[in-house]
Amino acid sequence: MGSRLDHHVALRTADIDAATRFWAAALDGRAATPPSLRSGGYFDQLFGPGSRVRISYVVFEAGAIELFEFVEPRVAVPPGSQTGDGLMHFGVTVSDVPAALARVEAAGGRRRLEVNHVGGRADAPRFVYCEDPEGHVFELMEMTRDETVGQILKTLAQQEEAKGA
Amino acid sequence: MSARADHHVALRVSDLERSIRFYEEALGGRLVAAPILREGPYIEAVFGPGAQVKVCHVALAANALELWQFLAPVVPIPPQEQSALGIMHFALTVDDVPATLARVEAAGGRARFAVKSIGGDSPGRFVYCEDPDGIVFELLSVDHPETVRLILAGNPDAEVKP
Repeated sequence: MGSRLDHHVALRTADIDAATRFWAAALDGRAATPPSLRSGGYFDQLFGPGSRVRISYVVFEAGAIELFEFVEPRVAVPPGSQTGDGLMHFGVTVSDVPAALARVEAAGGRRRLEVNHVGGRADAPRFVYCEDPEGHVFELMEMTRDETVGQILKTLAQQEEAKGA
Repeated sequence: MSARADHHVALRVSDLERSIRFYEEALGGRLVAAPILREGPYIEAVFGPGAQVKVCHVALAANALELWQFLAPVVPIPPQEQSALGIMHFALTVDDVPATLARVEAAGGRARFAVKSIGGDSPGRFVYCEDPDGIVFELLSVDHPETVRLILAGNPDAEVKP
């Protein structure tokens, strides 16, 4: 087996109960484990001596989000900054972007810019960047990973052709 | 369809070619869309006026990494302290954690601490690593449903009440 990058993405949250509800409601996920307090043992090594965290998992049709609320140390969650962060965002495949965005907004999230069509073509799949109530950035797309890659390669080929013409 | 949270994880890196080599060698990734320069109105709407980026896709057995190097603005990758970040890490399922860690280290990454047992009745192992920019990822030898089973077995208060 090759490496499978669909185990989970971990987010740090200021309010894990609210965040667990948000991700379940916004992306039609399921709280597979509710928030539970973890400390001692390897958590001291992971996050520093005396660290105490509450952790929950929200699972989806594929992939999962692991939510962490730090009881100790307590550091404010910084707003997502795609040009300043290392981990910028994560991408989510949905069947209908406007419908999924409506659920995100109803659950307390917001879009970062308008819904766009890939490549600006009206018949192309749609996508949008969103943020959760604490500003973590995620992307909704009406494409699978392989469809996105195919689309990029097609665009590149068209650009090459245009250059040659 | 419920949402699928397995499209990609986007990383901002300081040296795109170095990061591509790292994720190919360390995790068996495959460069499926080579770096392209992106700029103009849409990129500026997303990242701010004057933004210029190189972006590429590295596919794994499931999901993909979208690697971004900003030509403008150029901001150093911040130290990746998990207790202070918003998005903390991403996690991969692999067959053999020590063998994968050896590849990670040979490719220029490092372990954040020694390989640990997942606990319970599982032979599973896990470890937190970082890439050459310090970005944190986790290797686990059990998949996500099995991880949830082990958490519930070891933490009775983590059972979800209907």
